[in-house]
Amino acid sequence: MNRAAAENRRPIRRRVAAAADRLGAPTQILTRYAERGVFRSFTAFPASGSRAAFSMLWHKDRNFDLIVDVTRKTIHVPVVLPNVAARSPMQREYRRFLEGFHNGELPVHRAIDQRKSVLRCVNRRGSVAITVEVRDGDYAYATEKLLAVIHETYLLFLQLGGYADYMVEHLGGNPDWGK
Amino acid sequence: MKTVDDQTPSDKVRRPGAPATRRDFLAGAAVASAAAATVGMLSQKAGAQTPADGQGAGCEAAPAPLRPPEIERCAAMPATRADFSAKPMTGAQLFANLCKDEELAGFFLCPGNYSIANELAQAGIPTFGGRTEGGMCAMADGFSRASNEVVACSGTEGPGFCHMTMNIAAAHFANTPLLVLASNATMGAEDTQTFLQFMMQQPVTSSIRKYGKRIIMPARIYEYGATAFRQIKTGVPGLAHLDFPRETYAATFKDASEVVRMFNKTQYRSDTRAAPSAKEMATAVSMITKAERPVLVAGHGVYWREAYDVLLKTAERHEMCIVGSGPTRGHVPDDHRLDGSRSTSALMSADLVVFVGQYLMPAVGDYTFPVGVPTIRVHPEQGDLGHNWPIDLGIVSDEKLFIEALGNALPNKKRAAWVNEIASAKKKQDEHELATVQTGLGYSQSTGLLHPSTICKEVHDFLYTGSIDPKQTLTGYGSNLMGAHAGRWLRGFRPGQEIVTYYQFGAMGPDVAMMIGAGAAIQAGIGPQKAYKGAPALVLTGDAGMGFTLMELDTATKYKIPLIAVVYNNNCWGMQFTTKQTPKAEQLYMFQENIRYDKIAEVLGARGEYCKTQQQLHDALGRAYQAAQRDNVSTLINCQGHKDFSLNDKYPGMGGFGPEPGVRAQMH
Repeated sequence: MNRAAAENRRPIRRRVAAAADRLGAPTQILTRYAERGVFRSFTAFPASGSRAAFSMLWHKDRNFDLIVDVTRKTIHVPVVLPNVAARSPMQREYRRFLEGFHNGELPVHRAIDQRKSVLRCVNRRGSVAITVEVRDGDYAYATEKLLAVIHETYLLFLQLGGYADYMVEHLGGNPDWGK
Repeated sequence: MKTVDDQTPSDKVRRPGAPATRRDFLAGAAVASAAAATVGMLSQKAGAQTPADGQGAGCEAAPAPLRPPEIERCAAMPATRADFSAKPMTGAQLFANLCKDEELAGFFLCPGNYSIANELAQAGIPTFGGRTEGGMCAMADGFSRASNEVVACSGTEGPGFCHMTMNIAAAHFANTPLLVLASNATMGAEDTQTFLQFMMQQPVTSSIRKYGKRIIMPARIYEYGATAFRQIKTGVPGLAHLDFPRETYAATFKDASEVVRMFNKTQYRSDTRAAPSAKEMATAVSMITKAERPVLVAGHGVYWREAYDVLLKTAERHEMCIVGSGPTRGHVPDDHRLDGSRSTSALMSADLVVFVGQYLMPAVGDYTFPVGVPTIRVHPEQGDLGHNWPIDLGIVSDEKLFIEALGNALPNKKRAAWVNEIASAKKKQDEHELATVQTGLGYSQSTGLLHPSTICKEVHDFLYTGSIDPKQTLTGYGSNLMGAHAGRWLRGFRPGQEIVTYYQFGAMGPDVAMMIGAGAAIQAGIGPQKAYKGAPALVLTGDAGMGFTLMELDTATKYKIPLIAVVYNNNCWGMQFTTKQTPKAEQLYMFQENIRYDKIAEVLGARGEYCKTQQQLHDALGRAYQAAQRDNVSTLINCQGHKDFSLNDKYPGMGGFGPEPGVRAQMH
């Protein structure tokens, strides 16, 4: 019997308790960052079964929704970057930027161990979404890494990558300073 | 004690020939200008009768600008200090003595506020007169940023003061220790509309100063002056604004008994500094020692408190990454192996950040550090700890005392992996910038015009890779498109070498004047400029910003302050990309094309150069540098660019202002 099947055979109460444990780690991490002033505001919506949803006012005063789904074993941010055309040079560059977290380009303390978590990026109608697949059940690790990826997206990818116009047009950047 | 309203004409302390009031002065000036106009008309008439002389029929050969002989003549005169022995002292003289005792390092003004201005000059304070109040305020700011000294600027009541306002704000947000002086009309005429130029000044600066006072009691002129110096020089430095109604500066005092609270400076302020406690130091040392990748941000306070030498020793002993921040650069040398200012990516690896003397705190997310990174902040005043950026440890301390204590307490430690990561990130970032220049070079070649990235790289190579001592030239930059590239290529190899003119406030326009002021500091070899006394100053700027203070090239020429102004001339403000959805507005952003700013410089007595290629720029820089060093002559190098270089969709790959902290920082 594989692990998923075994999981499904456990009593519902125990499954709910296990899900709550897994949801607890992201909640704690996000709450801690909120308390440190990383986010300008933070909302934890009531958990529903194996899912929990959060909303943070963060970079460029944008709201970032974050959804943890322990059944699918994912943490998902539906809009990391808005208004990016699919198959555009920016989208391609961003995929390359994300690959850097897995391909050894970054030092170990910044990289993402693929045995633990894997980043996936999709563009849905112009919104660049990131999903982290949690491979080893370490939701704390996955949450920390996902937040770091979004943080680096705004502070390194956009600012070092020459996306001043994009930041002005789509993120409310100041035209004089391009950020 | 008498106030001005009590005085008889014979009471008034006035030097022979000096105008007593602005009205007298204006009346005199009107007579003089009328006379000049008459002479001009006569000479034109005479010219019309003169046969052609090779310059075109009816035209006289224009005489070259002449430096006024008064510059050297006044400089050779001895300074005098007024006292009560011979005759009563005026409020202006009392104030001038105070400024002299406080070792005011420089005074920059546009005429107006005559009594105060003239007495400060007479007392021997190095004084510079220029073309506009705004320009001279920026010049004072630049002088202070370069010299690390307290300076003053001055303008007349009303209009002159208003002209200063932008640059007062620029100085305020850079924490420049600047004394803004402005006269005011008489209190006797207040609310009557009987006198020109009256306005209440203090409300204008209420949000852009550390201290301000309209001095209304003549006997307290010294006391409020002393308060201004106390505010400027203690704690976090800042700007003080004093305005003097005529009843105060012109009041006379028979002896010291008529002056309130005229104490010695050792009594009205103290040089004592806060030191960290043993417990705080133990915690800080423990946190830093346990960290694997600590970064110390050496802010403006490290420069102001001259803590840079001890900082380097401390960082080297413990192999901490260090990054400079603030309105001047170089107190963390750009060529130091632990410098992280071109290792932006590595800063994202920090596991501890220590802010020391960061007067203007970024908000979380403004600086390129990891999300939620543990933080220590050391600041001279308790009230700002925790502002904008949550802290794990806050320490109230003088910057130098803290770094000295840290240096004594930290053990020797090697962090090879961290040092390698910093170096590797720097190498990668430099390669990225070189690739950007290659792209810019392609744009230059395809248009036959200079792209700003290539201008900045050429200046970099000229200043830092040739025969000139890389530490020698004092540089600064302003402007928008030029500024986006200048920070990547200008370097601070020693304290006070590079000035970020638009630091924090983002004013476009003060840059040329500010760098003339900075140039005055290096000419005199003041403060950190001492070892490079007499070296030129260079500014990278644009045609838009430069327009605000271009006339001050006359001031630079007059005082033989050699400035090399490299002007990116793209015929526009460079912001026409904002009109994508409103194309009818595009014309708003355009200037006349191909204006020869180099010719304007020549008319003002400076040199002019015109360039369209990198080679021409290289040669022009050589000639400009030689003229600056040999003859103290300024040069404006007009680099002709293309207005469309501002458009990233036509000329992509350039980026804007980059991440902070680091070489491209301008906000914090």
